[in-house]
Parts: sequence; C-alpha cells; structure tokens
Amino acid sequence: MTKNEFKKTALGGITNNPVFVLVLGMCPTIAKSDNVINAVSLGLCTAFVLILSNVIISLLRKVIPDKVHLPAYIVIIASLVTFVQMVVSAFLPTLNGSIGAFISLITVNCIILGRAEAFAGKNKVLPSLIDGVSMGLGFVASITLLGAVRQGLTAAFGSGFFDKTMGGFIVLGLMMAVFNAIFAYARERAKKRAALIEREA
Amino acid sequence: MEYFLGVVSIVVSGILTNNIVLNQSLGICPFLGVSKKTQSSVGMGLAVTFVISIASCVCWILYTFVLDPLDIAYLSTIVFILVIASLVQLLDIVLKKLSPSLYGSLGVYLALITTNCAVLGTANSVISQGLDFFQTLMTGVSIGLGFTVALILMAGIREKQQLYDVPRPFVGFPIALVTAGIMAMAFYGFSGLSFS
Amino acid sequence: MNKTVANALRSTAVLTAIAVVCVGLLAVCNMFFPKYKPNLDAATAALVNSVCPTGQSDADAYEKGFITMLADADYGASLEDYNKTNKDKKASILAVYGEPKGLNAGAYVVECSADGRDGEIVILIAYRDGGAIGAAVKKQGESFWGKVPENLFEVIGSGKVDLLEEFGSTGATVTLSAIERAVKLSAEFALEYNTAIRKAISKLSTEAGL
Repeated sequence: MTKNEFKKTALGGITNNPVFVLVLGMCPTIAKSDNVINAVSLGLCTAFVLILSNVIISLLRKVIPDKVHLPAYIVIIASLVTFVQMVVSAFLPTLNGSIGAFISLITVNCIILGRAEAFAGKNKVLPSLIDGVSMGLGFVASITLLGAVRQGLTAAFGSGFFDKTMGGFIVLGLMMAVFNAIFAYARERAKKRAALIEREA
Repeated sequence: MEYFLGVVSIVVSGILTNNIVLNQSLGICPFLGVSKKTQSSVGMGLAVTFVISIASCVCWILYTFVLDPLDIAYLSTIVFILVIASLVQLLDIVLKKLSPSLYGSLGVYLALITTNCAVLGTANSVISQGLDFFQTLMTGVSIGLGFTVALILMAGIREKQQLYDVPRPFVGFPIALVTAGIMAMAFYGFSGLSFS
Repeated sequence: MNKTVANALRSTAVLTAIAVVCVGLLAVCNMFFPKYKPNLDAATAALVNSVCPTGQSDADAYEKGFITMLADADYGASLEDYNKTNKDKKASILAVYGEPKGLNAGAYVVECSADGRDGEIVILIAYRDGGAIGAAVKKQGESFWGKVPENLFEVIGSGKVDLLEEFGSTGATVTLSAIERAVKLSAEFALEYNTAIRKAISKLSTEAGL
C-alpha cells in the first residue's frame, strides 16, 4: 500500500462522507439524530459493525464464491448486528429503549453493504480496516453534527418540530446545501489559484 | 366489530398517520433515489408493497412457529433479512420471465429493496406489537401502500421542480430533502386520527 | 464431475459454513450475556415513593430498605409467562415493588407498559388493600402528551380506568388508550396476585424484624 493510497483511503470518511457526499444510510441518520446521545450511540454501533464487517469480509474474500457473495455478506453483517443488539440489551437497557429498534436496522444500512461490496471484498485486510475506521468515523461525525444542530434548535424553539421526522428532513437538507456551497466555493478558489499560478509562470 | 375497527385503524395508520417514510423516517434511500419520475415510482412502490406484505407474513410465520417456540428469537434479524433477500431474488426471477418490460424499468431498483429498511422495520414491528396473522398482512399491505403514496407524491413534485431554477447549492438531494420535510409537515396533520 | 455443479456445491457449502459459524458464535454469546432485568434504581425509588409514600425522604426510602423489588419467586408468579399469556392485551407488566415498612407498609407498586404513538409508555401504579392509590409516569415520548389531562392519574387512583370515556375528547386518543391498556392489565394482575404479593411483603417485613 503506497502512501498515496493510504491517504486516499484514510480521508475517505471526509471526501466520500457517507451522509453528506454519498447520501447513504439516510434512515437512521434522520430518525435517530433527534438528540446528541442517540446520534452518537447509534453512530458508534454502526461504526463498530462497519469496521468488523470490513475486516471479516476482507479476510474471507478469497473463500467466498462470487455467486453467493451477497447472501454471505448479509449473514456476516446480520450476525454482527445481532451481537451488538445482545450487548446493548444486556448492559445498556436505557439505550436499548431509545435506539433499540434502529440497532437491528443497521443490517440494512446501505453504508455497510456498500463498503463491503465496493471496498472490503476487493482489498487486503489492512486497507479495509482503515477504510472501515475512516468511513465509520465519518458517519459518526456527520450524525453527531446533525444531532447537535437538531438538539440545539429543539432547545431554542421547543419540541414538536426539530425533533420530529419533518425537522430532520429540513435540517439535513439545509446542512447539505451549506456543505455544497462551501465545497463549491473551495473548488472555485482552487481553480482560480491554479489559473493565477499558470499565468504567472 | 372492535376487531374490524382495529384493522381499519391499522390501514389508516399505515397509509396516513404513521406513514413509514414521512413519519417514521424509514425507507428514505429509495424514497429519494427513485422519485424522479412518476412512472418508475409507481413500479417501485408496488414492488416494495409486494415484498413488505409477503416478507412480514413469512417472518411472522417463522417467528411464531419456529423462532419463538425454540427460544432462538435472538436469531430473528438474520432469519428476517435472509427471508427478505430471497424474496427479492424470487421477484427478480419471476419478473424477468413474466414481464420483461416492467423488469427493464425496475431491474436496478429491485436489488435496492433488500436494503430498504422499511421492509425489515415492518417485519420487526409486527413481531414486537404482537399482531395476529391477518393484522400482520394488513399492516404489510397498508405500509407498502403508504410508501407508494409518498413516493408518487414526491415524484410528482420533483417532476415539476425540474422546470424551476433551484439555487445552485440546493440542486439534487438538498432540495429533495427540504421538499420531503414540507411533505412530512403536511402528513403530520393526519396525526391523532384514530379508530380504536 | 460437471464444473457448474461443483461450483454450485462449493458455493452452498461455503455459505452454509459461514451461516453455521455465525449462528454458533451467537448462540454462545447468548448463553453468556445476562438477560436484562429491570432493577430498582434511585430514580425509580423516588417515583415509587411519590405514588406510594413511605413517609421518608427519597434517599432514605431507597437506601434503608423501605422499598424493595420483588422477584418472581417471592410471590410465585412468572412475569414472562404472564405477559406471554396476555400478549393480545398489548401491554405488559415489568416489575413489582413492595414496601415492607413505612407509612404504607404492605402496599405495592406495579410497573407496567404499553406502546403509544411514539414508543413505550411506562407507568407505575400503587395498590393498597386491593385498590389503586396513585400512579405516575416513568417514561414516555408522546407528541400528544400535552393533551393528557393533568388529573388523569388522580382518576386512575380513584379506580376508574375507562380513560377514553373520561378524556377521549382531548384528542390524545392513541396515548390515552395505551395508558388505559397498561392500567387495565396492571389492575388484572393486582387482582390475581394481590394475596400472594401481600404475603411476600409481610414475609419480608418479618425477616427485617419489624
């Protein structure tokens, strides 16, 4: 693995941010970002499953026949999710009450199957681990940010809107637009600077 | 009579008051991904309705007669997702044979249904609510129809939206999300509607 | 042997192997992880103290044994089985707390729950001499909670549980019917186990030397 490849994989969580760039895993992002605690805990559960599934699938990539790779991935991911469910319901009963229903839905979070399909199934263990950590942290960061904004807005304007699904849709849409504007501005500046350097040369 | 009202309540709640997309925020990926054209959204909605109804019934049967009696309810996530994945595969094969034209317009989205959390979410919720078989079937059908309604409405709005000049940063997903938010506000007006 | 057949066999074998290993590991995990049991924490004790006063401060009531959680075996029941047989009532009994000493010695509090519009509603209902004397909410996330009348729990305490009849006009029908289901089930439970629970509590108080 070259240094360049490492950099590209490790920064994947930002440049290919699952929530704001790839727009994957929207359901838990909107449903459970109503406050920071729910957001962080669901994000961490998802990241845990993502990292382990990436490692396991990458380890087994030569054993799993191509034809049945999808069912095999699904079984592995579902088992990891069941494990998380067991741990949470045994040791964190309060958390189980607030995000329990969404833990089992981690199985169908497109980020996890997506990374398994696009990365872990084709790469060695170490890069897959790095990809899992990077993507996982990218997801935790985005859902936490959204959770913080929504909790702040709920505290400021009272409950009933920003902590509901409708508020989630609108806040996420507005935040995505802000990020788009920032990215566009940064790209424009980079282009201008490149043009300037070219002219000076 | 009470049972009948309960079923009516399930149907109304599945389609309007507890709309799976706009109220429970499940199944958002296909809701945003496949709502650009009305025609494909109808097909997608019906395919999802089919899978949700059959999947919740099959999962209910497996849970009630196999998982629960054997005390292995902890395996439900694995079993349910395998049921859903095989159903989608089956639908894929059947559609390819029976209606190649529908398959042509739906083919890409079929694979998406497996990772549609509305399907697994419904299967989980009928189990945790302790419904009977008929109620499960009605829940599956009405939640699927609710998804279809939301999808078609969204597609209608987005078709019109393409004609307008949307501010640059909002092009694509952001404007779709804001639109969905406003639709969810409209659907929130149904809440409190109850027959039981 | 035909190559496709060999391939198919290999695919099936690998898939089965993965599934068997996963299920096996999960079965092992399931044996070793403790099952969640509700237990008496300080917050719950404070709520129990408010619906069924011991005459002590919340901290004293919690720490000095004025409130204890009864185990299934104490009164010869199984909450799990009870909830299973009453599945169609769409409510469940979570725990029973007894008060072996204090102002309401011999009274007990039943923790019950039902699903409302926006998740589980958990309610504590206090019983003394077979009648409800108070109720409080431990957990709820209802968007229509503002419409639940303030004197609702006094009405429950007075023994009336036709909540929809009393308050249906407020519009919080789903929330109210969930509360009603939970309260009704707890009343049935209290009726069935009243003698056994009170016997268990008096046994606890004699053991404590009262």
